[in-house]
Amino acid sequence: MSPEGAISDGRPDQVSRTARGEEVTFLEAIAEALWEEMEVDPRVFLIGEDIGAYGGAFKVTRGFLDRFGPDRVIDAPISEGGFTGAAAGAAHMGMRPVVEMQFMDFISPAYDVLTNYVATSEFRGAGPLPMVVRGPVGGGGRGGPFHSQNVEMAFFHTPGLTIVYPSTPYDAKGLLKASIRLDAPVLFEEHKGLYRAPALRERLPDEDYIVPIGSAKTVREGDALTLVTYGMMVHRSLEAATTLAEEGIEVEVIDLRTLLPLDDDHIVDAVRRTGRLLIVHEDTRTGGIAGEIAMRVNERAFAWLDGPILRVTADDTPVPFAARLEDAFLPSVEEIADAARTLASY
Amino acid sequence: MSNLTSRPGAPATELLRNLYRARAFERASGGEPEAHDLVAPVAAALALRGAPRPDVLTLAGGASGAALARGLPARDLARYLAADLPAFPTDHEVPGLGHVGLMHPTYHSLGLVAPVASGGVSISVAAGIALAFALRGEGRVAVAVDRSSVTDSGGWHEGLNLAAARGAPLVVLLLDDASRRRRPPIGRRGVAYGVKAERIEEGSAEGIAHRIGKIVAAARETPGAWLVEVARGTDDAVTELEARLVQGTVSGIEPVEPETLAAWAAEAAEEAAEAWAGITKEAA
Repeated sequence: MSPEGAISDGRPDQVSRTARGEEVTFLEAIAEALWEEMEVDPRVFLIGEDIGAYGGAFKVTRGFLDRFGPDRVIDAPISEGGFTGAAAGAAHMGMRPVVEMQFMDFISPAYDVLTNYVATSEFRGAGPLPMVVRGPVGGGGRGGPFHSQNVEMAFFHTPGLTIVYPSTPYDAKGLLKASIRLDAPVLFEEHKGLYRAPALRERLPDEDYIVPIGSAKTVREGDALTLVTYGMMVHRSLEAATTLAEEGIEVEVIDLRTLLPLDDDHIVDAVRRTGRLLIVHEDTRTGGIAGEIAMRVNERAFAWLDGPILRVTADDTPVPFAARLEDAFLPSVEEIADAARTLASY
Repeated sequence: MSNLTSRPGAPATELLRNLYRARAFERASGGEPEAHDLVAPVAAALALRGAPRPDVLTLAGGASGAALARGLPARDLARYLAADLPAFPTDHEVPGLGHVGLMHPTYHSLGLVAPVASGGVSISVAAGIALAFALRGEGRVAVAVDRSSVTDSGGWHEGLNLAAARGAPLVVLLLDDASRRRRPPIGRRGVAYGVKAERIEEGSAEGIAHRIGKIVAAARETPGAWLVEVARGTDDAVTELEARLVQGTVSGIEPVEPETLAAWAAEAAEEAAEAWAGITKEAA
């Protein structure tokens, strides 16, 4: 295997593995999606901080500048609002920009342009804005309050936006390709704890594929209760489900994959089978997506419920920097398992 | 309804007739426009006409007049503003979805892109439009019209800074709103951003239009952003232009009879009245 970042057959290493029949990491799956879409569609370009010469803070775009040049891999000034607005303008003119937020925590300066301009464009008659805003999210990396946030719920109630949050390399690649091709703006969240997780490495199809946006996926079958989650929490939930299975509690785990629009039918169908619902998310508790999912299930499946809808979430604080505090802040496998046991006992 | 802008005519006469239309349209919708707010946007719209491919005008100030001068039919504009559309359009070339109405129209085939109220966002969007033109090597120009007070916002800085860094073909046209806020002179700010900058002090409508036309042409020839501030004129701008046309002191234009001017004004008023007929003005 060539060293990380080395060029082989004109491609950076991180976008060559699938062609060589090798397993890829979550990060490499994202890089492959970007590379392949840029290869086939000249309308696609990248803009963000340090994505060109430096290859991005997490090296997702290492080697892209050499292949696609500075007009399609644009090192933007530090101005999240400015370059997100510029992406919108380019999208108006038929381009398909992909914005990289160095950390999704930094998306807050672009809140204005995303909610007031981008999300309203089609409703205002200004046409759809096909653009993707992607970047790393999530805690556990000791990044403190400004490099660890989950931002989905800051945008969840904004009509006109799509929010995608994959948990596996296969889904990350397929969903990112689908997002770039979508005639609508997409926020694409990538949990940085998944980027290079060895356990997630998998071999991907060596042909073009997409994963449909708006489609949840059952990643573990079970009849005792339904556990709905996404992102990093998919893996902690699966770990908890394995433990619970040894106790005779079979948990059905659903990976949402797309948060907006929510796949209501998939969730409701599952709850009608199991009669119990546990929602797990890494985002903070108040105003988290669990509240919305619970309400939708209440509206469509209340009569099927055999117990209260429960949730396991992060605490209502900024993400702590200190390791002990961050560990306590984030939902743990044990907390998920405990909540599932409680719910299963109803 | 006649299409005034399609008639042949020298720039000064065309400018005046479009100013009549803009003023009449605003008045018919219940507004009372000041002439100095209309001159630069209308002039910018006229300066962009005749390009081989549609350039783009993003508008925060004087939007209606510029949209009319760009070729948007007055009736369509009125219906857009009043959300008076019969059905939910699926064709994005139809201006407005009719949900809520909007102050500023987007009509892509005419190169009109609406801004939003948040100061500065429009410049970022315009910068991206210019970036797309440059990336595709199309030789097109984006012109963003806004009021000078927008330059106080962070978003405005980010947009112009990005355009300057990329050498994007963008003309930022600022209408000096003569607020009490103090800012460095436009020339100094241009130097700071590394863009060409100037202030148009010429008070006559014709002079402003002439200079804007020159700048747009220059931006098309040589990529790079422009920062242009138009001095606050007087409400006599239209009156002065009328007088000079009648006196025959506009270079290259034969004297125009006062009766002709009156006929143009009447046509503009008729067009505006027809556009707004039957539309509930409160909706706008």
